[in-house]
Amino acid sequence: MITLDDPIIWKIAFPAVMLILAPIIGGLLIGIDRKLTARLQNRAGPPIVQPFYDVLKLFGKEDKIVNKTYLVFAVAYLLTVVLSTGLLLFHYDLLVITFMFGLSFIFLVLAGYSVRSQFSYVGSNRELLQMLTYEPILLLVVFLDRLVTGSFQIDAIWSFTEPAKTEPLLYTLPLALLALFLILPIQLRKSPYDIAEAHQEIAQGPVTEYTGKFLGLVTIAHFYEVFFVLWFIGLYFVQNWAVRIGLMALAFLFSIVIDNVTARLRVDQMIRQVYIIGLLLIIVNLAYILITGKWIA
Amino acid sequence: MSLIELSRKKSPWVIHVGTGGCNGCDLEILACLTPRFDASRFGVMSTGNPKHADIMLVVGPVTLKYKEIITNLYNQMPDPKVVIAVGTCASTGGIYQGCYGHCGSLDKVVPVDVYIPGCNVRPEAVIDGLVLGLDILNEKERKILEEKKKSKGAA
Repeated sequence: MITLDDPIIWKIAFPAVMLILAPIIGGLLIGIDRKLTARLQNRAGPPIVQPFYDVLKLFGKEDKIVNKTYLVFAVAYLLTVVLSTGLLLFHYDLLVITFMFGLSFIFLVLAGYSVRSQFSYVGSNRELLQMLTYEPILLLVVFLDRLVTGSFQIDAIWSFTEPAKTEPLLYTLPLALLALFLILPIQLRKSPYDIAEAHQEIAQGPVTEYTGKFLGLVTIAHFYEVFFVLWFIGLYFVQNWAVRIGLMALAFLFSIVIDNVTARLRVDQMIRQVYIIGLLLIIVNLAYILITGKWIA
Repeated sequence: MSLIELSRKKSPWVIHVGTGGCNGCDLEILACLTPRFDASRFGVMSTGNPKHADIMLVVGPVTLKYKEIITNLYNQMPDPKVVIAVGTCASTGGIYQGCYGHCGSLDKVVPVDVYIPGCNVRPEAVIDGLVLGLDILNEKERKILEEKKKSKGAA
């Protein structure tokens, strides 16, 4: 008889169910985002299930195939995003998860470079610069996690220090969490850092040439991305489900509000802002955990 | 009605092409996206990319220089697609009728499915035309599938 306390539920069944639900949750979140944005602008807005209508429609459209490499990169992009989400849910190594998530961006960049369209090229260049901006910050945050928990394994977050005294990451790394909030718009491709998919200037950036079901696959990958980013932030308070989900909701609301109140920035402005503010937050947080002696070698 | 046909009706992505008119109809189309008329509650999304679009809204008389561009845009759109002529100029040529340097009307260049007359059109009329175009999308897809079946049977 399997009870709720059985480790098999939390180690295998729950992550598997969440991995299947991830695109549905991500799609609904994007739908809520569009609805909320519309309400903020005093419009009625599309229904919440609109992203699913869009994807289903794309699967019913003709595929205009530019070249075969482009299609392979779309599938690779989706698979790496799904893989990084899966690794996160099944409690794998944080460092591997971060690099796998970075790899998905690389596949998108390669997709943009593999077609002869200037919009794709410009989009890919900008996508690379965005990676250059957020990846060091994300890695440093992961290193800080390692310094506090003593391991890159996600399981260590539940049981660091002594088994009796488990402390949420939020209490030791509050500024690292703020640094994650700072790179949130880049990962979610939202304003003010939606430079790669600036649809008013360069069509849709790297995904300009996708049509039909391959654009649908890229959209599904984006659903997974939204889920991945929010779940990653949820790791900062794993002790209590209510606070954990509250933290994810806060990050989501933060991204929507920032998306609505800011305009798109230039690449150099983005690099300057994210590096200066992000590194400052991380250095202060590092000093804090070094001084209070909360680090494990 | 299958799920894909339903979602096709619910999510028309629009590309908006101006072929050298007076910009009156352009402004009315943009007014459709504002809070007062809000075409996005039907799932309308304005893209600048013909490869992602389902519906092409064409404004203005098609000048000779623009003929090639607009056929190019039309050919880049994936099936099923609908072309809507917005305004009198695109529908019939309007006040430019018989003038040199333009093609007469849009339907002499690409097949047009819906005409929205008016100089300039009202935003309500644009929304009405868009909703008319949604039913045509599914009809067109059914026709394409039937033709594919026929050509397979012949082969």
